[in-house]
Amino acid sequence: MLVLGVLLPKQLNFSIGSAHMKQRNQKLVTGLSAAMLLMGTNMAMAETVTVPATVTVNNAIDFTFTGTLDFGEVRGTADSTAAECSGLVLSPISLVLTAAPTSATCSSAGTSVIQAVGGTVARPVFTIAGVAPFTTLNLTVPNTAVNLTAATGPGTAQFQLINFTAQKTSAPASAITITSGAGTFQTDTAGGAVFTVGATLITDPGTPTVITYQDLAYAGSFDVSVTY
Amino acid sequence: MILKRPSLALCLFSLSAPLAADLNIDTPLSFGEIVVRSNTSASTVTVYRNGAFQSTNHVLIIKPGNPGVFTINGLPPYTTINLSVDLPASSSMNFPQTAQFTITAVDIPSTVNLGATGSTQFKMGATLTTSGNPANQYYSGAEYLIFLNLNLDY
Repeated sequence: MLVLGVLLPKQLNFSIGSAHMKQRNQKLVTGLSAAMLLMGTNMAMAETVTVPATVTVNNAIDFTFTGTLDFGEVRGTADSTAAECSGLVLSPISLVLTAAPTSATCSSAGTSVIQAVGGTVARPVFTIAGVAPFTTLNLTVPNTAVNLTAATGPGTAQFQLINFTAQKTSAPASAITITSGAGTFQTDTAGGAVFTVGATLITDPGTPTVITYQDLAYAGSFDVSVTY
Repeated sequence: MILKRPSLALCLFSLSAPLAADLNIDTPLSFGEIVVRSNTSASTVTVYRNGAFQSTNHVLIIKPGNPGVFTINGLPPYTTINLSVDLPASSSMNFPQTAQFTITAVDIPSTVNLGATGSTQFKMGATLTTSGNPANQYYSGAEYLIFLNLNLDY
């Protein structure tokens, strides 16, 4: 605007005092255009551009396992009285089977017996990957007895798994406290974790009519789940 | 003389055409890879201009994102440009029954100056917020795209 104020009067004065109209007009136009050009460069301008932003949602947990929960070979006899049973504990940190203490399920041993006699004892190993670092995850293991059965006919004694336990084995290793089948643990800096699960194998806590066990593999399955 | 007027007019027309800023996206703004473990209440993930990141409530960060990096040029040297963004800006992905994300805040310089080179680079961070609607809990395992209107005033 300051430049316009200087140029415009000068060009107008020149056009009034001259006898050559074409030359006057051309210079007038030149002056006005230059002024307009200078005005244009000082005008406020605004533009809006659209830019993208993205986020990727990944709510899945990469959860895998290897191995089985295996108590090896045992010698066992059940008791036909309810809640009279014996057990072997497979802890999540040791492959040595130990005698289970009495519990609500097995209030006394009665005539039942269970002993480890060999075979290969094993625990399943669960691996988590691709999770947010240092995230607390919820672990769920069975809170009720899991039957291990074989095709031995009705009324025959079966085995059960009770009192599931868990141990985080990746750093920092620690026992996972299980209450009513639920516990929590934390992932590491890479968003991963490894843990194992143990349980107690007991003879039939019910009232089987046949208390002897057959030389068979008694098997069952159970669910382990991990959630955010 | 006859040819002189049109050539002058053409010259003036070309000189008086308004200049427009050019915005180049050097690095797109990304909030990274996240977990939305619940949408019962609003949760956020924030990427700051300096590259720091943070999440709140039910959002967990699997892989951190990065601020957007932009370059402005095409204007005369030393031009000062005011920057602003139209907020809120929401995604509109058509995944079945999905909730949407909204950018509720940005972290950008309010003004930039193009300096002697007539070019400058700036970064943009932002905060992404979940809908927090218990009736619409679901976020798909997918990439969500949000378009932001960036205003350049100069």
